[in-house]
Amino acid sequence: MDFVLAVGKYFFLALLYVFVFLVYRAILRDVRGAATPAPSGSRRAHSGAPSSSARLVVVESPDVDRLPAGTVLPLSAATSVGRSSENAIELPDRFASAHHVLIYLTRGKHVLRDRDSTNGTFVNGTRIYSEVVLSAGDRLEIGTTILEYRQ
Amino acid sequence: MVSVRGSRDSGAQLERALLLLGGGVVVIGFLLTSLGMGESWVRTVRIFLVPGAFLLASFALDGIHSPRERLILPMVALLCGVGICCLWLVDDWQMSKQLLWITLGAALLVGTYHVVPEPARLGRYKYLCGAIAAALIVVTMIWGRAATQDGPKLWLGFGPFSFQPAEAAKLLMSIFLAGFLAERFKAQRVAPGERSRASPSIRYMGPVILVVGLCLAMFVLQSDLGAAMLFFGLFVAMLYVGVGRLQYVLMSIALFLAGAGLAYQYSPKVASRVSIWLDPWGSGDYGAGQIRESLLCFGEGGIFGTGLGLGMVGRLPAASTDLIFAVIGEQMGMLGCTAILLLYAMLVYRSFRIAWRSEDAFSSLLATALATVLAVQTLTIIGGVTRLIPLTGITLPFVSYGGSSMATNLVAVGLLLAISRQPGGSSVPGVTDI
Repeated sequence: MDFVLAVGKYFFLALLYVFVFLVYRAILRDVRGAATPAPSGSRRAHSGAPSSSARLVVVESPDVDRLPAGTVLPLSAATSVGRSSENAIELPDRFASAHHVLIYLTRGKHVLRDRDSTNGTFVNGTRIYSEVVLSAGDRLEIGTTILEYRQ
Repeated sequence: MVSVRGSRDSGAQLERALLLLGGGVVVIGFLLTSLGMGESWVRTVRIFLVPGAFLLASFALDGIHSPRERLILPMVALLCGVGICCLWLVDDWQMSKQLLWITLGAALLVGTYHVVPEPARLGRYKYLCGAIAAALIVVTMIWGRAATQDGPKLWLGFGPFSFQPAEAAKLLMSIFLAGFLAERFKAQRVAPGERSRASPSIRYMGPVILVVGLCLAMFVLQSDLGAAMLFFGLFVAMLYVGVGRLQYVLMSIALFLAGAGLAYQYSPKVASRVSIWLDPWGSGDYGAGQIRESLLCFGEGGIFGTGLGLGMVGRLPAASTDLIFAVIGEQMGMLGCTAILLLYAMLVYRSFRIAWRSEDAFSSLLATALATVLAVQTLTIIGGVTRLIPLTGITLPFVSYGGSSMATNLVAVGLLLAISRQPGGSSVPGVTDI
């Protein structure tokens, strides 16, 4: 019994360090991963490179002085859109909610998330209740503002 | 337009693999504890509750949402499990209760994660949270219960049930500070390249100073020095991160030094804590025995420890709460302590990482607050137990015995994970899936 306890003590500590090491390695990979391209499995072979040129173009705007049609709004890794000035893209539109939608990049695709907006978000005429993946040419209706997603 | 589907990504697999490995460590540790204590192995079966609860939580957290932080949950599960192993030797009954608290806490974690779909919105309740935090602390001071005759009143009880409001208050205070500073920070922000002309006035900080000052005053009156340290540390860190002005921090530190000096002069408790810290072996003060026994425990443990279940912790006062790290030191030795410290360091790092990847100011500040609480608490108690700083009573997160503490800390983890789920917080492909 004493033998088991003596061996067990070292075995337990060793196992504890294996755990610590594995977490450490995952952190290290994560830190380095920022510099290397994303691992693309076969399931997501279609995912193109995250295009930095993705943008929203204003088609219709209720306030042409503050947001004229044709304005190009570049998208970053995560872009918040809404009436409040806290957003990356502020819409001068009283039918838009303060925090209306969030457009974020995941696996090389831009995803639009409706943030429980009052008047809803329509993509190509369909109301979005949670999230959709955007593709080039999609028309986004937020309040009375119409935006086009381009890549 | 394609709807987003739940992803079975490498991150989820990594999390589950780590949870299984950590679960294995905990089960082996528990088995060794039972052997060391001469208990029947049948009693070890219940330890499967801990890895089981966290593994279930891992699945329950994965819905249709975006990727989230994957390393925090396994680390927390391991800390909880190691805490249970060390607790058994101290108190069988407390260990059994702690098992239930961990299970319940894991459920609360999942609940928090799903109830708060957009953490940014919690900011709306900042004044409510601040008010409740202050009210809880005042009420505890008036109607609270104390563990000993003249100890600090820390518990609020209803019949046989009691909880520690300071634990809930630290969470509410985090929300209040984050919400308040996120708002003020916006108001004071200057355009890039332009220097602000007006120095930020202290009157902007009125509500914060009121609430934090009230809480600190209550803690000091109660001689609950651990909680006072924690709240003050949180306040200073949040001021620095939220306002970004060193002058506030320097001012606060000057205030702290002045307060500490006054406390040393006029509070016999503080003075005795300091004299014990300076000379634990020669001091005859009440409480010096605690730190002496703690240091002896670390000495007893040596490099490899006595082995789980084989310590002599019976003589340690408050072994299951404040001095739990000394129990770990005795049973798992310096190597075990180092591993635990490394886990805390990585846990705090991952929490701050959530903060700086978060998209909106409030979520970012809230994650900062939660990470700060975790760090300050860990450093305060481990520093105290190892005689690096004067000992002040506070729990070691996830390890110390205590239902309120365990539940609050796991809710905080749920909040952190909810913040990490935000696209801005974790959506760079390939990177955050880890």
